[in-house]
Amino acid sequence: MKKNVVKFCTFLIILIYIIIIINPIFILKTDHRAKLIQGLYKKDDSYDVVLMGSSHMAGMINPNELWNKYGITSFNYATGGQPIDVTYYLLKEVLKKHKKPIVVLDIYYLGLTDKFGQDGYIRYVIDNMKFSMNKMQAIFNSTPKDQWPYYIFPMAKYHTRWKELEEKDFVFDTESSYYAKGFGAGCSLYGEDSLSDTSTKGTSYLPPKTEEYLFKIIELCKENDLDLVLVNAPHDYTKIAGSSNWHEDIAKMYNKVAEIAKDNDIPFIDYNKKFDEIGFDFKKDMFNDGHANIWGSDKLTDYLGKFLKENYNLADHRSDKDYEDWNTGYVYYTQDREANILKEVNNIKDYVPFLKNDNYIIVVDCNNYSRLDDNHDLKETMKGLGLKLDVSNQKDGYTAVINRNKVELEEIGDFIKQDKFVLNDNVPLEITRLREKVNTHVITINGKEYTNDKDNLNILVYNRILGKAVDYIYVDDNGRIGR
Amino acid sequence: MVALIFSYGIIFVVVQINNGLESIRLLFNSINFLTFFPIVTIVYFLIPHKARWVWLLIGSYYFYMSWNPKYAILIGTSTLITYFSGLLIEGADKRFEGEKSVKLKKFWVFGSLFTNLGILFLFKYYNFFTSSLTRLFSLFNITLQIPTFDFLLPVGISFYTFQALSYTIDVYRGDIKAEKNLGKYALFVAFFPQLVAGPIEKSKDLLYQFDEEHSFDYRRAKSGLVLMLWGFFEKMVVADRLAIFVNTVYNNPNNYKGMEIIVATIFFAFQIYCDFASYSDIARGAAEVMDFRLSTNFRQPYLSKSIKEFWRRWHITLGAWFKDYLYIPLGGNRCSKPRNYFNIMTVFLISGLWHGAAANFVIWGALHGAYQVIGDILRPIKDKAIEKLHIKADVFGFRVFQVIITFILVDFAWIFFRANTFTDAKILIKNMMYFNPWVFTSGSIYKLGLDFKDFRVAIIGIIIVIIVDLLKRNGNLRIKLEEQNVLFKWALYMVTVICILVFGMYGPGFNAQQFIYFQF
Repeated sequence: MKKNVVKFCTFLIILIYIIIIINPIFILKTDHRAKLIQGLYKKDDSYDVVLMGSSHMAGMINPNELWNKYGITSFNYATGGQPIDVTYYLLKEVLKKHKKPIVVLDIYYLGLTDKFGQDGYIRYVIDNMKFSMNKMQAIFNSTPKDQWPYYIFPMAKYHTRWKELEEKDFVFDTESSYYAKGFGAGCSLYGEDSLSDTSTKGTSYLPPKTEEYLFKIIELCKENDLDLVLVNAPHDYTKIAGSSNWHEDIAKMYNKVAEIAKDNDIPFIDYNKKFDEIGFDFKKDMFNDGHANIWGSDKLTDYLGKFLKENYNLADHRSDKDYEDWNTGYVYYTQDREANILKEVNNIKDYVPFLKNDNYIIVVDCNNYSRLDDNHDLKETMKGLGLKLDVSNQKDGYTAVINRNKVELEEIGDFIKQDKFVLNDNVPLEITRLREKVNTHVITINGKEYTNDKDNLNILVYNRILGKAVDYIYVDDNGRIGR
Repeated sequence: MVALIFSYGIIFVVVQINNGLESIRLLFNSINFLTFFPIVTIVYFLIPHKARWVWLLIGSYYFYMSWNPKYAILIGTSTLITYFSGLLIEGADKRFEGEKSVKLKKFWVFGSLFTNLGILFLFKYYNFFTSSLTRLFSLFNITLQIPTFDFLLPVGISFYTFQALSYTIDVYRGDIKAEKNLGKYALFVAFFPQLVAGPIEKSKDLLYQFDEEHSFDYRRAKSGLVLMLWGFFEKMVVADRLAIFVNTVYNNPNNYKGMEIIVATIFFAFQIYCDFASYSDIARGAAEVMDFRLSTNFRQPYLSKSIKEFWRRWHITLGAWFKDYLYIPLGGNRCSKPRNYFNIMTVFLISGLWHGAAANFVIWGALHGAYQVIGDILRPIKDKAIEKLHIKADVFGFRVFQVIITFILVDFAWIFFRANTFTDAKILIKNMMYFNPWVFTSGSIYKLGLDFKDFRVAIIGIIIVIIVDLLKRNGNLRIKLEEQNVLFKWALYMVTVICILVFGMYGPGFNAQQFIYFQF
């Protein structure tokens, strides 16, 4: 009997072990997953500041800028639509590894009146937490009862993904995006003003659940002797007004939060009331009505950095040898930022000036040179890159390679089927045009393959620091960019 | 690890208690049953022998009431009626002699039959009966105003009513003694593994098992679990996947034709087989873990070479019930040919009605009856043709031919069984006569609920079911499996569990849409 019990238990343990291994394969691989794994479990960096909240926070405070300007280390744990109760359990999990950070919390989600947030949003956090007491508590308190089994055992929720599994589901890269420290903001301009009435006086209630969890977070910080800073990200109040699951008068609710903050001796930065002070232009500094863009986030981050520096005893780590990685990360971040801005440009005239970057390898490729030759405007624009473009040829293809702002190759000749080059700094480059599919270009740099099938002028921009192509565009006869 | 398992267990118990009884139907393929069953089993073996039947009775009523607590009143009523009828019949036998005893016995047995079938009629057939009556009268321009009966059909009522009736009749016939212990008898009627969908056990096969002393046996429990595992595979991977395709076509018969309907109809044959057989397998497996033996309900029905054989292999316990308590009392085949044909038709019409209160089920039953009657009438002609044309009847090729013909006949009858109305069945048969095999190459067949990948899994599932059925012909598969090496067995079990977890149709489903919004 005893032997059989041992046998059965062994079987069960192996089976459960296998299931535990395959469970994460099915979980949706989002950027949120990557960053929470980095911030919660992977990295041994210690953070002076942890940034908590929903997407408003994710696109507002930029750890790399905090680092570059103030030498403050931080990580942005915010995820899209993160309800405040989930934030509480996430913060508890953060505090397991990071003992003494200043906690900066965005309060937008205090307005949620539903008992539970949306399933998908909650999953951004809970699915990516390791099995722990905090995770269990998060499930029991932040999700509906009938969903508990599917949070505890995510495969039950996601198993239908078996037919869409990709490589990243099996080997998920959580490393390469760490330099962003959880931050991500858009690079386009909202173009409209905020209609919020921030001068509203008087206060209103907080929805019972979010109030409970705001106090829980305050309590948690007190218990752990942590400094808490509340912030209210710039957003247009009128856009959320009238939603069935949201507080009906958030201006007054924010006033109430200000009161609570005062009572508890907690600083509260309401950015919506500081536009003039920090020179924030809602039209140009917002990505949409609720989220700052990259330029907006610079201003918001700078203000917070100054505030933290002035009010807390934070050492400047910039010249500290132990923090060398943060400088490397910052370089990555700046390159990535430029790439993101580049990707928003839709006209070749505006695009060319952005290509002046020492780290770029630019491959200009066109399988019908006449198209380029006939287009005077386009030719002039492209000459801005240092290209000559002075050979007239009606049929053949055109290839140019610009490396470190220098033209290394410019060729108009026979239709190239396949050509291999080694650039000045030993970067292998290969260009293939498939004759059977005339419009297909395959460019291989450093062993990575990029394909484009447009019968236009194609431009590939490869960033040597990021080790990947940051943009691959085609330009139509009117200079408009397609991707 | 132990803490992990323990906390999972605790969570599920908490979920159950908090949910209250009404909302947690203990479907076999639910998390609730996966909690309920181990708890019932473990406690069952831990408590003294004398108390075990009480525990099972509590468990069984909890199981049944999880659908609707009110149902307990109905099953309780049926239990009481048949219990007392048993005692009264036996009492009449002992206390009186001769004609009086026979008369009394008849009175009680018919009383029991009448009340039980009356309850069944009221819940299952009353509305069908009255609407048919109204329609009939409307043909003569007479409007009938009969009140309808708005109660949900209690789950499993057809199954346990038949099981309870078999007891009354067996006592009446003197095949078994009346059960004195009301609790044990109530357990016989409500025994949870087979309560809602069979197998329908005869009292002489099951009742005595509640008096036996059962002890835990590792090998038997393992064998039972393997059977349950196979049941879960049939249900969750095969039947429920096929159902998506079948429902698409059968719920909109006007929109589809040709191959689409043919594929849906073949799929339905396997859907209903896997669905029903899975229930029986899980029931038998669960009972086996607790050392109870339930009857085999399906024995590779689609490998039958004739309709008659099909009915010896399909829903065997129901067939046996009808044979014992209806066909033979009517005279069976020990009578004139016309009378025998009448008996066959009667049994199959009633069997059709038993499956559901609607015209399609009656037609389905009638078809099966007719298949057999016509088959019997044509047999001399068939035999002669085989002889004249020198057809070899005992070769593989001919047997395959017979199996295919039988399958086609059975599957044709399934159209009536599955179609939502008789009109739908007619549309389906009409639309089926259309030549469009290109739906496979154009890919339009993969737009009926199962995309190409799911369709492939469905086909693989069907193939696995057929292979298992073919292997079963040569003896008990589970015994053969037991002879294999541990490594092979464990690998097989684990692969099956993981296949069910990955390819099974369960859970709330994943909707990428929920995740796309606000990606940054």
